Amino acid sequence: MKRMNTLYFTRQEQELFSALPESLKEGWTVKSVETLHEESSDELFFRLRMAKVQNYALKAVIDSLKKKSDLAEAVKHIDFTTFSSEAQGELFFLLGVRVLTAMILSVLAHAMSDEDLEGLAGLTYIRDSLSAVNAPSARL
Amino acid sequence: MTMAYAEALELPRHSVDQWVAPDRETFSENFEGLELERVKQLLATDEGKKHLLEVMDADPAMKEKMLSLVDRNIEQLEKKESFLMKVVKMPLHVTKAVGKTILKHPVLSAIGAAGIVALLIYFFGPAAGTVGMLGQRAIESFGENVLGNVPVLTPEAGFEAAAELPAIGGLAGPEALEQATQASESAGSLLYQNLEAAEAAGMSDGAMQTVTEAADRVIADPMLENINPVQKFFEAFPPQPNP
Repeated sequence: MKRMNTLYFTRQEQELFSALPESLKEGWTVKSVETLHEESSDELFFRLRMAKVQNYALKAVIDSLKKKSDLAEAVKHIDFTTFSSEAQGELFFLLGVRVLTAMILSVLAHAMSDEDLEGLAGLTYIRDSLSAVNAPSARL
Repeated sequence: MTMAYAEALELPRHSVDQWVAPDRETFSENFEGLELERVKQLLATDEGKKHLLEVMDADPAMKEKMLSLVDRNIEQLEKKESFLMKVVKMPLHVTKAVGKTILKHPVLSAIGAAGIVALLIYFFGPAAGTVGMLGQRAIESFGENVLGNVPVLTPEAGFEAAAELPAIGGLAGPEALEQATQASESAGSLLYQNLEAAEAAGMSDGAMQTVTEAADRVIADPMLENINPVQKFFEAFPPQPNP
């Protein structure tokens, strides 16, 4: 199984990472992220309108939520582990780089296991990919 | 030609829904089978723009915004395709690890959930299913604050005017709702649907704004152990009344 052992961190994130126990940091490679290309609010509003809600996993979650009597309560029970990579892509494209940064910082601040770091590796890879397509010089 | 996203989104909700495509296939279907690259070429010439506006049967008063909407859609579709191609390359176990991490950390699941609420409200309306007491309050609040200022419609305008309600922006005149409801039954029904659609767009943007604010709080203090943007959104509504 191919391991993804690179973490793409900003300077602030690298500082949080360096404070983690050595045993947790072992085996992970850190790559520096100098610039994050974030979206404007209006750009995210536009992305909301072009979301593919027919994506299987998203549709299943939304269909389930539509039946609940209390949405605010029901959303606490969304099972994000059912999301395929495409569904994660749809969601993160909508949420944007800044939200991913918040998620990454939050996990780093509470990381306790190698599994957390594996999740972080995915999140930082996703953010790096999104930031790259947002870059003004991105060749698409 | 390219306008700011906000300006392009000032178009009526039905135009946005009709012409903003979630993927390349839908985009091509919208333009009678033309590939995205071909539409991009057409947007670069006056003749091409004219052809596209004919395909879109665009209101002459809105043609710049319609073209800008298409241009912006192309831009975002290219970004989205490029991004998704990278994301689907992640090994399955990493995708699973991301899902587990979101589930395990309350801050992440709260933010992710708020994004899904925004989607739910935009595509299925604020009354999709039953949104519970908080949601109901938000809807009532929206009704008091925004629907009291519905767009100026005349009874004569009826059906067509009802369909022209903006997705966001452009609300005015409290007398409009009363006048519009004097129009025919079908126009009244359509008005209701369009009001709901406009309402949904405003609310979902409000939800997205709450997500961003939650992210800002976490960035300022990564040690935060809990946030609840969904509840905050439902409590802190109303959405911004339109200028």
